[in-house]
Amino acid sequence: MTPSLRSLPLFPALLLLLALLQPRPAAAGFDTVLNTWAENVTDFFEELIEPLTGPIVQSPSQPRAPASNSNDPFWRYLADAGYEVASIETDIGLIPNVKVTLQILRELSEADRTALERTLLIDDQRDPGLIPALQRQIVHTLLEASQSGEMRVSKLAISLFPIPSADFTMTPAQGPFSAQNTLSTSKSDKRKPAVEPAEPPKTAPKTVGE
Amino acid sequence: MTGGGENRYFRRVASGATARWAAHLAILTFFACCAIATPTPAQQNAPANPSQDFGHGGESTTAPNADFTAREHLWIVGAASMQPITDTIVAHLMYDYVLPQPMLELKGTRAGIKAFCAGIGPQYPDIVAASDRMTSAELNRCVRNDVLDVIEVSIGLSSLVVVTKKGNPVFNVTASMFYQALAEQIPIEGEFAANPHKSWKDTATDAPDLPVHVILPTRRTGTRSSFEDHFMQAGCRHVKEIDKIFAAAERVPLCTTLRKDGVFSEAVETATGDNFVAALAQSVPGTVAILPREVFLRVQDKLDALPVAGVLPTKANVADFNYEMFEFLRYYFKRGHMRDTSGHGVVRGIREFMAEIVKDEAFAESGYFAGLGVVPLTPEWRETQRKIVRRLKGFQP
Repeated sequence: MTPSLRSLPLFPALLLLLALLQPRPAAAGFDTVLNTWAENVTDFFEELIEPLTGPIVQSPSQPRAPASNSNDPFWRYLADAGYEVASIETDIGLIPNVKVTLQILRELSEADRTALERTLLIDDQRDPGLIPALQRQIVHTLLEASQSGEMRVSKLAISLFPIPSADFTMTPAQGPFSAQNTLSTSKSDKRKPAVEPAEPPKTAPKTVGE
Repeated sequence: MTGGGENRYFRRVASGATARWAAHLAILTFFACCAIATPTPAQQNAPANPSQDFGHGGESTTAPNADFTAREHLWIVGAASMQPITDTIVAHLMYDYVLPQPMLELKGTRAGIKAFCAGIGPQYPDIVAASDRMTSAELNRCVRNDVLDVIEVSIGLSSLVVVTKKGNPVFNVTASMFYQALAEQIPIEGEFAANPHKSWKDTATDAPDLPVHVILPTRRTGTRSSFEDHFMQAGCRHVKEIDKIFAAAERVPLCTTLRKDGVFSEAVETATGDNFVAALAQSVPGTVAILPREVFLRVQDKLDALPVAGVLPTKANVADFNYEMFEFLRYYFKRGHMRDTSGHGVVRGIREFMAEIVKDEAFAESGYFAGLGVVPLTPEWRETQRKIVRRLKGFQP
């Protein structure tokens, strides 16, 4: 095959690209939809990352809040789900990338899970926008994944560019490779109460009506 | 003419083609009858003992006409606070259908769910009236005991109300204050130590200097377990020392184990709230109790509600979820006890009960549940509950 013939299949793609890029009045409706969608996606990324990095266009007077004290609902959900930000990777280039890695800090009790589900349920009613709904969906997925009895999502990586994705790393809930053991080896163990359980009950609770 | 007609008639009857058609029709009718009469199992694990061969009910969402049930009376267990609601539903059911009086054993949500999940058969209850959600551990126990298809239907919202005797000081409370007041051990300067708090002032700077005393419903009630979830666990959720503990099994007891030095007492929960009124009548200022909202509404002439996180448990605040301590009121149904298409099953009336509670005249804004203190669900959620009833959709915690 000659070089001119080899490049032949690229022509349709080139034509399509030119057709899409060429500004024409007839394509205005499509452009609007495309732009709205692009704005939504960009807003989603910005809202997601801003509490951690601060505004992308920095204002000198803008105070920068640490991630742990963030009031952004998404990061609050993740904190309530027992995760904290472990690292943020940013790549600057032709295709920029931002990857936020979260690691599990504590496993949820049934009441913790129910409380978070209730919060998501309430926010579903109060804030039905696209971006908050997407954020809540990530947390819902995380909660569902964490309900598996034998495995646990020990690490969550959220990549923003070029294609948004959430990677869930699941590890056994019990055993040497569990997240609990990994945390125990990396942190000092302050989990035990300093004081032994209290002495036997002085007075049993009085019951009325029995 | 007549004789010729009869001949043609006899010729048709005697012809082989007609006989074959008749034979085919008879065979088809036979198989159709067999198919209708044979129940299709709705549950996957049929019990080994044929004498207890229940659990095949509910294949169809329409009630069968025939009735070959093992027990006559519906058996309802669960929360005492839901007795008036359940009584009213039963009254409506018995007005609409010819049903024997159901058996009610409303001694607590947790106890009710335990009995409900014990197995399939006439010796086990059919319905739970629950003021708290069935946990995944409870559902797992159900599954282990062959109670495979549990259906959850929410009928409205309730809430936990913190009350005190009329005339006693009314002050704002939070979940954190209850944790600080009632937990057996709390972190003090980074270490867990025996709870020294004696006054509400010790638990929050803006609280009054009144002695801490709390009257709680007895264990195994939904109100008590809701209190542990919404007050004790919520109160310790963002405590730094607690958040450091990875395992929920270690963390939860630290949050929910109550002091044993007389700072709280228990009262048996009833639908009338009499025990709580009696206990509070002799109480000193600072004594508070925890009641379900629908019980509180019956005794609100004697008790005052305290705001939780600055919000009072009014109907509007509960409906909008502004009041944090809301809870869904639910019924759990055992699909395995429903009658199958041939009318065989444990009991008659489960589907009728389900249909009754999702009627607009029951759970809409102007329904009779609202008159009993239940805060109605939004129209969208009501439609979701109707769909659950229509499709007999299984419960997933």
